Amino acid sequence: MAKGDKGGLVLALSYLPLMAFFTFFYALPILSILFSTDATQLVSLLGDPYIIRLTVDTTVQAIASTVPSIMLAIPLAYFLSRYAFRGANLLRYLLLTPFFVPAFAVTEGIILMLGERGILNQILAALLRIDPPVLDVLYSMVAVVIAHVFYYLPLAVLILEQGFSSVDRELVDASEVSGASWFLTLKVAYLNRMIPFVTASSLLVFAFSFITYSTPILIGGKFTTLEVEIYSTRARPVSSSLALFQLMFTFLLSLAILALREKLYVKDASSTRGRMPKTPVLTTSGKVLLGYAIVLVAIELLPVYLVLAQSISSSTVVLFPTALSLDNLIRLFGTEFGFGIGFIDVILQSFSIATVVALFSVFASVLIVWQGSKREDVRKLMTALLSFPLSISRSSLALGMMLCYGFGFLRLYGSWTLIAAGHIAIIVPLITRVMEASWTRISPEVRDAAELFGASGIFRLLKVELPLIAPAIVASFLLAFSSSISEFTFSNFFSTLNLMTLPVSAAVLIDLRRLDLAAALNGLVIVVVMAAEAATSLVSEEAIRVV
Amino acid sequence: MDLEVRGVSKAYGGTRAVDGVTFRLPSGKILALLGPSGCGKTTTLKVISGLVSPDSGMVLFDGEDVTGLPPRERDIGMVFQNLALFPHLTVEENVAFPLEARGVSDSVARDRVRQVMDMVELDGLERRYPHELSGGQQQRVAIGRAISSNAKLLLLDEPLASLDPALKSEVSEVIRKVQRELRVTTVYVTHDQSEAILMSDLLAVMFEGQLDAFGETPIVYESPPTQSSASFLGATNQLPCTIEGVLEHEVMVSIGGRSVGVTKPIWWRGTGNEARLLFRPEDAKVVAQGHGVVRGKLVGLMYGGSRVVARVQTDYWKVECRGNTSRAYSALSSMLGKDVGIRINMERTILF
Repeated sequence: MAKGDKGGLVLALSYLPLMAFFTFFYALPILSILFSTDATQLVSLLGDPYIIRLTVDTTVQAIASTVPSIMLAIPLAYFLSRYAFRGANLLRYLLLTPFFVPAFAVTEGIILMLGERGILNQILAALLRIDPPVLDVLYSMVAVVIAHVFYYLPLAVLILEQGFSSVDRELVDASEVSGASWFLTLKVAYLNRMIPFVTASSLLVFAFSFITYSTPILIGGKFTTLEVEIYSTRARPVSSSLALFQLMFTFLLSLAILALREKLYVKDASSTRGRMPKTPVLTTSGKVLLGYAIVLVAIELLPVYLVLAQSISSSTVVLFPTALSLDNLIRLFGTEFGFGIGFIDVILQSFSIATVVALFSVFASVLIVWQGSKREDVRKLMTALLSFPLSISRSSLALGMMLCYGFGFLRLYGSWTLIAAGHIAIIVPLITRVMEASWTRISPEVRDAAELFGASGIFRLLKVELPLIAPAIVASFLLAFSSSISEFTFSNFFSTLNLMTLPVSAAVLIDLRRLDLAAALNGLVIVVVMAAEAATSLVSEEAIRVV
Repeated sequence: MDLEVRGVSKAYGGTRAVDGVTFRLPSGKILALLGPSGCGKTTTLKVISGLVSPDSGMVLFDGEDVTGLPPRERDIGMVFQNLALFPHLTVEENVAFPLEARGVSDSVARDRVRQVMDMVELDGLERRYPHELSGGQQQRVAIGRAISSNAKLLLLDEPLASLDPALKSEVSEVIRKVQRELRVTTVYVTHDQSEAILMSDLLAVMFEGQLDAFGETPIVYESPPTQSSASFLGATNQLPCTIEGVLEHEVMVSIGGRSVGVTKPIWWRGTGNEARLLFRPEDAKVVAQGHGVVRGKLVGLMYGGSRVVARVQTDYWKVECRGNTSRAYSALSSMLGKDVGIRINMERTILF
């Protein structure tokens, strides 16, 4: 083979894994939506009062979820970044719990908290001596917003804490020594530094709330969002137009997040020196903030706690169960879902899909990162492309997959393969980032050394690179497994009465108002997912950092 | 193996890291590539190794052009600045890596590893991991790995930079021993002039991507061809002078009205022209007023244990003088702030 031909082949092979992944899991499904969209219908959709209302409602809900999340997160993030105290890591881990726990499990916790006979109404009724319900917010936009605040506040704290930690200490000192007022110090030292972080966290919470799916389905009542509407109309042609509209919007959101991410990285690189030191919690303001942090984390944990408490209690919703029982869990094994599928079948289906998804995702991400590590242009393309799935409309992608693979030539609808494909589409970008973070920590000199001492590309991969990122591979597998177990959107889209995963069966139980059984199931999922997350954090720091 | 670098240039963005570097290193010799940080010496080394492709120029091994060959096909051993030991492999596995990568059979590799471990004095540490070793031991593993495959060319990128003085001498001895026994052609990159002079047969001084001086180490040290090389090699003092003429083997110059003979003129500028006289601090001594070649005021005195550093402000530049006894310090203390003379060892001055 001529030298030029060989070079072209090597170049093509470098791009192949990345391009193949995006072609099969993103481009073809999106093209399927594009080809099945009626242009005139799309135009008329933009003027349709129902769609306009839906868009406005979704946007209002996303803004309403974002503002309190950020406002509540700022003092907590500041506290975690500035104060050193025993138990800080435990507090941080507990705070992150609702973010790692599957959304539908947190949502059930919200039902147990805000429902007519929920904890809040029980407490208010006892205090005010009136019959419950005192508050009737469940099954409305308010309930969705509350659930989102519970769910996304930890994410906002994580990002903002990074921002506060990176404020230049010397800048604060210089400002104070120069006699600047606290307001001027706030402006010159903190505000400039924090604006990108506040914007980034706001955009992310907004994007995640905008593409919300499981929460409005479970506790939105009559309130619905564009994502849910795509699901509801999936059998009608209008869904393609809606999906295309939603994809365009989320694409723009992703672009904004991507642009901001670049800015954060540039700033981070220049700000490793002179970071703010942590001080002990001795001052009054420190103690007040500690109290705030403890209360906020306790409230954050309440929905998860209620689900776990309910799962091992035979009584109705109570804050402190008096009698512990495994009745709910035992009854779960006798419950039938769909066409006679038992709970064991659901577990087997979920775990099989999660295992396949985890194995495939790890393999694909190793391949993508390996090729990306060889060429800077491939790595840059990989970084850019992998940012988009973060806030893409999952309902739209699910619809695209259904059109492309579900009913097309492959006719995969009703097969576990389609659910696995959906999970892979969103999990591979996440896992690839974990893998890449670990890969970039391999010293370039180590790679150079391997090459110089005669190692071929494959020899270097097997003998040097893979052993060095082994912890990230294990962490990625666990992360992919737990993410697949808790994934709801694709599972719900592609489930049939013979095929369902744990989240879908939990949704069925919630829909049937069998909250005791749903709690038992969700409790089980929470334990599995949290165990996987704990194991992940033990084997690899990157996983948690990247997530 | 003969190494030849012919007109090699390499730019990063708009910056020329290496600019037309050319030299030839005969088989079995050690070349020290010396220069300040950012002068292009590591880039030159990487071009030789194949880790960096030059924009222009050629690298030849025994007259054969290897510029287009990937590093793994060049048969090179290298000690990296940060060692680049494989952290997940034991000492033995690190040393065996080049053999395994080149498909050498297990029994041959085992024998060779044993030989190398003995040569770099690592016996007994075979099963240890790099993080379980001291800095000097890690350095020896890196050297062992570099020589295990009997490479034709050994490249050393600032191998002693991260070591303390005691370890430096220990590791430099190992390098010299290995080089002597294997007679492998070696390129040694460093920014430390004393290290370069101690370790090398040939010396190359680089500035701003270009080769400023090249030749046998004693010759380059004693008669550097340029002012910048002379300064980098320690001739940091300079005085202006006027060429008066030639007398037998000496060039007569006038410094501040006094005629002196210089034995090593680098450039001949003709009678009446201005020139500069460069000399090292150890070749200048502070003497009483009225003696010596030039006069000035003793403005600084520092006690440095085995040596004493004095600074004298002349009519032209500040001159640094270095004595080597503590007696000199007490004698000079009384002269601080007063006019003194400077005696220069004219046989060791360099005229530009």
